[in-house]
Amino acid sequence: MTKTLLLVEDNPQDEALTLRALRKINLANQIDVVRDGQQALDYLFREKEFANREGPDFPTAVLLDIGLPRINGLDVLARLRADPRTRLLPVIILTSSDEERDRFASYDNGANSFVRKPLDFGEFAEVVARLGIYWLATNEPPNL
Amino acid sequence: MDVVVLWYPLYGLSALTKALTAIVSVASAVMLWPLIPQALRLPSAEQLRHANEELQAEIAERRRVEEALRLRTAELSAANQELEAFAYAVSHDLRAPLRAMRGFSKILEDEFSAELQPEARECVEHIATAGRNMGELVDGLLVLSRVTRGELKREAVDLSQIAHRVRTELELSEPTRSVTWDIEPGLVMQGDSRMLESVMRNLLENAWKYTSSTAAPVIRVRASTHDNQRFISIEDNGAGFDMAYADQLFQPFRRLHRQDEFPGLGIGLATVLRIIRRHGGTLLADAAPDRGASFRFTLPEPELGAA
Repeated sequence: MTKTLLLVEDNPQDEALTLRALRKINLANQIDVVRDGQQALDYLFREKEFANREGPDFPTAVLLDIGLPRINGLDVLARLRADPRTRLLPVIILTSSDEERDRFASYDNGANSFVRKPLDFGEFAEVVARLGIYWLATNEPPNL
Repeated sequence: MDVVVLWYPLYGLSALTKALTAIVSVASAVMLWPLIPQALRLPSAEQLRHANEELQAEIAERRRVEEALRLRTAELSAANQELEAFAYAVSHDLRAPLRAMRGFSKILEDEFSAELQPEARECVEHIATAGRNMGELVDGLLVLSRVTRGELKREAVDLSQIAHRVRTELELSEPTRSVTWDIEPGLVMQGDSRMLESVMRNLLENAWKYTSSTAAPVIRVRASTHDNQRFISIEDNGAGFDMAYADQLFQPFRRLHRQDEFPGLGIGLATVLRIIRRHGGTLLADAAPDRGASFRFTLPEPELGAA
């Protein structure tokens, strides 16, 4: 079974930089991208435009930004945790924020990890590569 | 007869007593006479009502002032919250485009350098440098907005201890520098430990930085008394500054030295001032070019029984 990551990112430049970093370690083909919180929920629960999407039921892990249009990342996370199908789905918060309240709210809502996007591209690429390898290869996810 | 003997008449004494009583009564009457108009002057019902109205008016006025004060406090706290939300949004929302500028210019540098003309490469370099500078400014803004956020806890804080800690860190960061430190022991003040740590850190880092081209640098931390108030002063014999520009000193992102002289963001002293103000204290600066700078601050001692 193919392992995939779902990237929820509304900023096209951050998306391009993330995909570029993953391409360097040959993981770019295992990434799906959605651009707001509603799309993320539709993707995960196979609703609306994603009713017929291909691939496994759930990605191996979700990389979730906080500042998202329509439904923000923390609300997406809360809804995933409230639903028995995605209660245990690994979710990594990947954000510009390093505010204590965002960090607290993320873990409080059941995030598995909280990672700040560095400003420097070298560091950013390294962080993304490490996340990709860890969640796709090292970590053993539950069967959902 | 015996009976007659028993009733021994004392007419004289009786007459004396009566005369005395009469004299005292007349005297009392004379003394009381002037009190009659005073007794008549006791407030009438009309006067009492008037006084009552005045009291009512005063109470109403106080209520009005209290209400105005409450509104003003609410306004201030709303403005504060708005400022914080603004700083938060600015620092975070500015980071994404910055990451893009820096990221893509880095990719151009790393992967397409060979295909770029020298002039084009220089342009890319400028974009990268500007991106880095802006990143520092954004981080500075975030620090500034964050430092005075949250509850202010007043406790005894040992500033001498903090000074020693910062000294050790600075010496480790630049082991080749030799600076004479003179830290008075036992400088304890009442304030928020996190914020006062930031005050000491900023002032000492400045002293360290601005003595970097001084021949025999000295940094001194001590207590002093001015106008019956106990100040803590942080003094150095470094580059100093012209007091003519002192009003710009505490404004965020304002600097009195060029980046090629002494690098910096210009948020250190703005941060210090914000913290001292939040404590209700005073911050004073004194300096002369090439003769060093001295910053001293005082914090109000909390009243006994007050939290």
